[in-house]
Amino acid sequence: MTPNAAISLENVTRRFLTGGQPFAAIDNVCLDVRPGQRLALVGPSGSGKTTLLNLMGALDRPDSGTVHCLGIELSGISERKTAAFRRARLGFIFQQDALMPELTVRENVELPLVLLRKEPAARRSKVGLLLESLGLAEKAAELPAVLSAGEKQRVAVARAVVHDPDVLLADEPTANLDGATAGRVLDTIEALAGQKSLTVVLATHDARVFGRFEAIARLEDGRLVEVRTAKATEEIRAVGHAELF
Amino acid sequence: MMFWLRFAFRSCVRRRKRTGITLLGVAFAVGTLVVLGAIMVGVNDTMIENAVAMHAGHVASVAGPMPMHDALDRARTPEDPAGDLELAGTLRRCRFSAMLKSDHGTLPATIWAVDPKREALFTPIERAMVNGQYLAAPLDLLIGKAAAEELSLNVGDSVLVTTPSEQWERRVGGIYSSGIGAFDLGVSFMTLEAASELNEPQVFFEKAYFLLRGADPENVRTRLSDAAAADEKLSTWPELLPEVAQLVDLNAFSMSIMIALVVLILGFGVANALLISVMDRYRHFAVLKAIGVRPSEVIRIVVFEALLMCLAAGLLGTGLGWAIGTAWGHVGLDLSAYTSSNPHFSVNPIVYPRVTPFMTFAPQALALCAAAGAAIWPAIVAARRPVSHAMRDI
Repeated sequence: MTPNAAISLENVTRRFLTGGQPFAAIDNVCLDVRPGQRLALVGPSGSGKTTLLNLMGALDRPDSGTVHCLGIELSGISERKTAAFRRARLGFIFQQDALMPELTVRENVELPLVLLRKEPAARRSKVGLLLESLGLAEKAAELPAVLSAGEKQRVAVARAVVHDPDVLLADEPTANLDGATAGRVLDTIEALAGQKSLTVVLATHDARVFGRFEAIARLEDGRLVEVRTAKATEEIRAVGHAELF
Repeated sequence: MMFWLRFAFRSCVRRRKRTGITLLGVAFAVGTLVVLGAIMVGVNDTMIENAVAMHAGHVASVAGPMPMHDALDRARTPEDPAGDLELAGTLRRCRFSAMLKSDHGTLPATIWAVDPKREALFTPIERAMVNGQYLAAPLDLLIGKAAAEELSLNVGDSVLVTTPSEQWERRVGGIYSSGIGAFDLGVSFMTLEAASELNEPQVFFEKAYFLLRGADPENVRTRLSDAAAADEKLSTWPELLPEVAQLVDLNAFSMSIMIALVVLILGFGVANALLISVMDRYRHFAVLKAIGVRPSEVIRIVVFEALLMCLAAGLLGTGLGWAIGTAWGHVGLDLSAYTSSNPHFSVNPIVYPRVTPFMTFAPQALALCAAAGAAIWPAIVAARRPVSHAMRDI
């Protein structure tokens, strides 16, 4: 494990059976993400972005190699400890359909705080402020079914950061959104990540995302083929995004 | 805990149609069990009441043998002090064995000397008269239809009552038919007044205690035995009528099997509904687990859903079952078409379903247990499905 890395993957391989044959969704990947860094995982569909994100968030375990997240070796801990780790230190944003349909907007955002057994008054106050800052205060008592796709994703972002995690993992958060809405969601993620100094790893093939991230890791057929850092942002803006695919 | 309860409640409400259908199924099963339980209790009540009315009450006290005048002294003592809340009343009788003799034959008989007015309150013999009157004249003898046929006797005929020490001639004042052949053949009645003219030395003094519906004869026997005379032997109806007690037990056993089968089927139904519901929500459970919900908490959500659903359904079913059972208990259920040859229903073939607290709440409690048990498998399926697999299930 690389010292001081927020997330460190060493020779990580994850295989699945496809048609009875083993298929390497992630193939011997090594990658470090610094604390506070914002990394975009890019690549075509089926390249292994979601699988890599799942491994970073302890939603899956590698067949070989090690995954360290915030200093903890994830493949060696129990399901119970993994759950405790996720609820306290990670935030997840999923592509779609990730809000609990039976809970109101407020209750969805409140959920991580409930899991952390925060006091009801503190929960209400924190959620209220967060929804206010995102312009969603008026929707607090609504069920997700009445929200627009963009509003749902912003609520999902709020839920992912409400408990002040150290790492935010986002899987195609703008995939099904129109340009303007996707922009607002990304603005929200950027703003909240900046306020809270979050380490952000975001899987996407949305070209609008690249310019906003300081590092980009490109996957192809489960292999990490390129990592661009720091000045990459400017280069990408200059050359366009085609070469990343 | 409250958060997950609220979550489970909203999940049930959100899937209204599926919840509603499952709820109706469980309510129907619980309600049916409550009503069937009430009928079973009613059948048992009728069998017991028919049997104890013909015999010696719910609790019987026997003392003797003793001379007739001693037995009559005890029969004429004031009624037992009131105050036992489970006691409906007491009958005092003198019993002895005799031979009945007519021109056409001789028949052994047990003769009960009774107080006709009090007997009429608790026993069905007055209502079972087929000829003549029920001990209207003090010295008349009341005999059963089978005995009358055996001895070719009719109302107004004379019959010779013979014991080892005495014999008397009596007039047949009435003929009854209880529907129980052995009883009609072997049991005759006379008044206590008529018995006072006899000097029979081998007489048994009996007290028949009739209890209020639902009272426990064993408890009453225990209380009565404290105040009983030294020579009195107290017995409860299950000891005196073991065949009826066995029928009651058999009924309870059959009902238990039926309850078990219904609860089992109910459990499968709930498990099926929950499994489908869980499979529809793999992704949502995966999201919950991704944000830190433990597998045990996922199990809790599913079990809470099952319990809430069955609690609501059980309350609905119990309420309906109780209402139907209670209403039916007032109307009665005429089983004469099915019991005309059954001695346990010959006195009164009408069954009055009775809803007991146990039979009201046991189906509900069992339904809750079945729901909790049935929820375990779908809950484990939801809890154990890997998040990364579940997230692809859309």
